[in-house]
Amino acid sequence: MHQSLIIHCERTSRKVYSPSDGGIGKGPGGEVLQFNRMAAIYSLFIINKSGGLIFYKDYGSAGRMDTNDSLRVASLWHSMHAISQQLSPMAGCTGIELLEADTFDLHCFQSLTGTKFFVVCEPGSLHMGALLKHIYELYTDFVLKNPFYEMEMPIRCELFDLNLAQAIQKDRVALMGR
Amino acid sequence: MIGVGKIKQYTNVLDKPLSRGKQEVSLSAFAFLFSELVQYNQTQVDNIAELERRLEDAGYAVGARVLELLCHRDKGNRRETRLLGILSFVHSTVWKVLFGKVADSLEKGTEHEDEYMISEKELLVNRFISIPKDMGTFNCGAFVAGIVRGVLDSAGFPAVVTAHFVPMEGQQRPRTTILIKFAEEVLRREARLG
Repeated sequence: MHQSLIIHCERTSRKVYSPSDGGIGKGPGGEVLQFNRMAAIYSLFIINKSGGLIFYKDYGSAGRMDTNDSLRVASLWHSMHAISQQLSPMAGCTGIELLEADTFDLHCFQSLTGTKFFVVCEPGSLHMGALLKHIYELYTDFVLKNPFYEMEMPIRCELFDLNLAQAIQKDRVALMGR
Repeated sequence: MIGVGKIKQYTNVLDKPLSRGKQEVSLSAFAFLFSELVQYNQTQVDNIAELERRLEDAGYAVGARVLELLCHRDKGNRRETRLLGILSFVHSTVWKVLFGKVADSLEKGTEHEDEYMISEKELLVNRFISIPKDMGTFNCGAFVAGIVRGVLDSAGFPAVVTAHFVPMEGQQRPRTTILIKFAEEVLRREARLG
């Protein structure tokens, strides 16, 4: 019943691997790929059920934006997500899960209560769904069980930041290994 | 709260003693309940010292009951009457029943004769709690300090018990130290008993 919409934006080139980049790995077809040393994840957003940005973090220099822009992206995404549910030809659509563009992919995970988690990452990054679920788990542990957190308000929890940094780091290490 | 029961295999079901039931409770359920306890108390106070005192009082009631229960269950209706005995009872027996493990360390204060410290790298009640910067040195371990005070007080060792964050070298997170300062009468009695 969970139909999801995948929006494919027009794509001219998939990815350019330049030899000056970091590590070397094997592609799905066995071809040798050069991996970027930069983070695969550009940024992470968490928005509450009314579309307000409650957490934003950027990783690395690519895709960095100022506070106003990130707030704008968050509320825009919230509306687009809602519209996509209405647009779906199938009943029971839960909204956009993945948006693919030339220069980035946007993976979105919506919890049952309407809180949305989304990452903006390199095109073709794998396992983002699992990472988002893990981030959701960290959110339930270190944000919701914290008596000093007010629901729907911006997240300022030391333990959440700490564990999130660890999760992202682990994901990065796993990426280098692939 | 969290205990570890040993399971022995019996061939005959009649030889099997009656089980004491499941001893562990869900950590999540506890964490949410504790979070609510802190949030409720926060609405009832107007300063942090008051909040700390209320949490300690809540723990005190737990401590008094835990002492009663454990003396009956584990010690055959006897209880410790000496200072070191009761301290190690708190450090191992009480801790194991409440948190599923013995406390990380039990030390004697270096500056004062009447001070003892129980330290824990990551206190169970603090596992999911981040203290906001504007609350300064507040520690939800006050609840555990209250439990310790409840046990000691009911066993006839009146003491002032407080919880503190102590930064550790090479660690991102500070550890929690439960500082126990015994009343004068306790030390006088100890000296008399030799």
